[in-house]
Amino acid sequence: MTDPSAPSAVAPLLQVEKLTKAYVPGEPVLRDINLAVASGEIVCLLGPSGCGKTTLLRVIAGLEEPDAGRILYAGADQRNVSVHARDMGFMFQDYALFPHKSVGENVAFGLRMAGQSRQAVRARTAEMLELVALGGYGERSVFDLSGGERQRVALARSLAPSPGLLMLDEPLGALDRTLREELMGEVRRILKAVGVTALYVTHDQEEAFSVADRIVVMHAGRIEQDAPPQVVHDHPASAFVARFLGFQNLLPIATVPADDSADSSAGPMLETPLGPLDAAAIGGAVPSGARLLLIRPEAARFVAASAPLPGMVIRCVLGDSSYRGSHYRIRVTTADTPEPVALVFDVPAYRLHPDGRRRPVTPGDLARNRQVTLALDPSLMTLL
Amino acid sequence: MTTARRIALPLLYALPLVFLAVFFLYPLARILQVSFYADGRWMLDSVGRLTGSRYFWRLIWFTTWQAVASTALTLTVGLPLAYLFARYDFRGKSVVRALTTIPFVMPTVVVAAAFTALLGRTGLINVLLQQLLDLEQPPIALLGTIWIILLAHAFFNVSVIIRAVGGFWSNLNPSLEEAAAVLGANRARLFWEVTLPLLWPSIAAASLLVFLFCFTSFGVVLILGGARFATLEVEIYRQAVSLFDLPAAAWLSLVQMILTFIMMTLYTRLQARASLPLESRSQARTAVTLRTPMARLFLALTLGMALLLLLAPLITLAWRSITLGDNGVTLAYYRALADNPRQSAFFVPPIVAVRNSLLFAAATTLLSLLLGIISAYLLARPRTRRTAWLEPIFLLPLGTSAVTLGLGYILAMGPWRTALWLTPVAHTLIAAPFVVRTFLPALRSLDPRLRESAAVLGAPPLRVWLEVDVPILFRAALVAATFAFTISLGEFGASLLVTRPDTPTMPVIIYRALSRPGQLNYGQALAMSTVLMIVAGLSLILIERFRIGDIGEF
Repeated sequence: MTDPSAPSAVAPLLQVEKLTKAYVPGEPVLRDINLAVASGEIVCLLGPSGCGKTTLLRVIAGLEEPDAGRILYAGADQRNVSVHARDMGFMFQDYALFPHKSVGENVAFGLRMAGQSRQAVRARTAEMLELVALGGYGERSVFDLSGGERQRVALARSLAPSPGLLMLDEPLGALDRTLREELMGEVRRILKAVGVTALYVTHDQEEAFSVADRIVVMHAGRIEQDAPPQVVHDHPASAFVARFLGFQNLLPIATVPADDSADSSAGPMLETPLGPLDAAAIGGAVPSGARLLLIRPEAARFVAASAPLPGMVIRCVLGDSSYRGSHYRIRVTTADTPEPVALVFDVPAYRLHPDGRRRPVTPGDLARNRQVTLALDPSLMTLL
Repeated sequence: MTTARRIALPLLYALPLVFLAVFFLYPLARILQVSFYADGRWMLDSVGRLTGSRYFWRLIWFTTWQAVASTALTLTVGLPLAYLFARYDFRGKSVVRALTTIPFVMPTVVVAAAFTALLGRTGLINVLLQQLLDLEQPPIALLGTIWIILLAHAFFNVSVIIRAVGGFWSNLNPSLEEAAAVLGANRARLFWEVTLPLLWPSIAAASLLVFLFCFTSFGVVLILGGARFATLEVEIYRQAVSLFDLPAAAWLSLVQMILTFIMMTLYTRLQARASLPLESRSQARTAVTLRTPMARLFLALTLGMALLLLLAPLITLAWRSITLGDNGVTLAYYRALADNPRQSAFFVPPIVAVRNSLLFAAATTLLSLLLGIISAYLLARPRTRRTAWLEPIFLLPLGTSAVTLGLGYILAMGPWRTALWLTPVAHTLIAAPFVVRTFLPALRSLDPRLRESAAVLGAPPLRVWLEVDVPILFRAALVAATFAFTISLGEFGASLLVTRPDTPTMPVIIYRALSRPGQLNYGQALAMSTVLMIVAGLSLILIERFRIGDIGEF
């Protein structure tokens, strides 16, 4: 993966510089956005609704004018290039298929605008419908299509004129969950087959992880993190990103004690609400300015109260628990810390017994108000 | 945006504003000036004398109470029909509903002529009764009474109630009534405590519209009421044309303008409330099919009666136009339309009026489409503080009376007041607000993403308009065009004042023929009215054919 901050040998296809946009003066929707997209890359803009991701797409496409900043496409400033003259495609959330045109006419629209010959238009339209597995649908009315089929037509229509950059605004947002999961892989396959550079907006992290080469997390008009999916997942750049990805165990950490005399083999010690923690166990250096400890939900294991174990051992009182198939999600409150701390963990629904067999954890084991001891695996913790 | 667009767009948008300023606001200003200011000084004493007179207050009083009575009669007939259309499904429902709309699109002179044909001294009912009971004198003498005015007003406006209230009613969620029933309300309380309060905004808005139409009624009162009755509108015409008292006419116009403006403002507010999406349901779910034969029979009888009452005058009109006199079925009156014998009251053969009307209507349609559609695009833009005042301005002519407009032209247009083009201009002012109100909802419901999609796919602005706006809004434009055409064909008040004697329109000829004695004149009036009725009826068929759902107010 390329590091977007490093100067790359090849100039990026799209470069957004210091972009600012406010619909209402004083309430910016985009604040100082910098973004680079390399040719052939699929970049997901991920964030909650209202974070500015759709506005960013619209500004890049030329549907909105930025208040400040530059958009460079293939090295050329797009300021005075009107929407229809930009080499970009756009797929709208609710598809915006032309209701007065058939499926084929919808797909052919961009080709006709490009002035292609009738034969070329017909051939390319058929090819695109084939690509999205809708071969032979050309004559149909768009009203006769299911939601998933409309989505495919919209994709075919925006890909047909071979735009250099395709923008997709919540392309799966209008579909139900099952269909969405099915189409996530499909969309990536098609985009990669065509080799188009894509900017893909979604609020669904699962969708972002399965489609993107790189994820750009946005929040309140700013970019919070710009990194490959694995990096975003393993090292969320901020408390916002961590919470947005669904992580709930975020604990404040006190500044590292100034124990400079201690030997350097052990890492600095961290003061957490759960007690002291060796930063070395988490994995090396403490990022400067780190203020939060993220404990992943799968970090906890039930242990016998007396067992001497490495890492962090906490005694808790069980709260609500709910069955999730492969695991139980349990809510616990610590019992042996100065202040009670509420935590959420996913514990396996089966546990290994001394006889080597797996036995199901029974609801009785997870009765409310039971005292339990949990060992937390430091390798599943991150400092933010 | 390119420089060309930056200049061209405001110019385009200025077009309707300039038109309004020259052909609407300026004539109104002249009326104001003539009312208050002449010979270099303010003339408030003559206005004061008029306003202090009993004649003035009697005029206001009559205009108001006949409008109230007409509205009450219209509601009495219209509400039960609205209920039937809203809550029951039956075969041919859409055809029956379209038939009830016929009277609304009929020109006032046609309705007046039709009422004389049915209820006049030599009307069908009197002729039949005389034959049946062997009477010497016609037993029914409704012409020149208040009753025929009220009947004609109800006849005209019943479809307003059926469309507005019935449409709203059919979208009411039946679960609300079901919930009240489950909570223990009997049918009467259910109606009073649930249905009526929910319907109230739509009933109020529709009633106010009917009241407004009756308050400014002209042709019906002038032709059917005779010399005894005058609404403000009729009196403005008499003062201006018969008595040549322009200041008095101008002052009455001003009074009427103020009153109608207040009513229009109120109507717009009520209309906004009535169009609140009250958890509406599609009509398919709210209407039920009647099961028992008795209930079906009752429904059929009620609707049959209503249709008979609504269509009888029009059918009689056509029938009398070929049977008037003692010669059996004859086309003599139609043939006479082409002649201009010396004894005729006309300056030109009446048939020329058909050509005039069609030409004026065509010009009106083009002009009001152009201005109305530009206005609609202007109004559909995102509302800013700078443009918020535009909508009331554009809809202002809707509340202004046609006679006032005609009077304004006579006062303001100087040497142009006999110009041929003044008639389509006057018609355009009356028709364009209808074009705006028909086209604007369709334009507003056009998804802006369709245009953005076309642009992103490489279509330049003009191409976007041709590929997206034109095909999608074509039907709405067609409906608007038909409205404009029909309105121009039937327009009476302004035409009476601005057409030249040698270029009359069909309604003007019909009025002239109706107000002269003699069977030939009357027969020609009936024949010409029948022609006008058929053209208006054809227009209605076009409108119904291309109407998209219930978009638009009319």
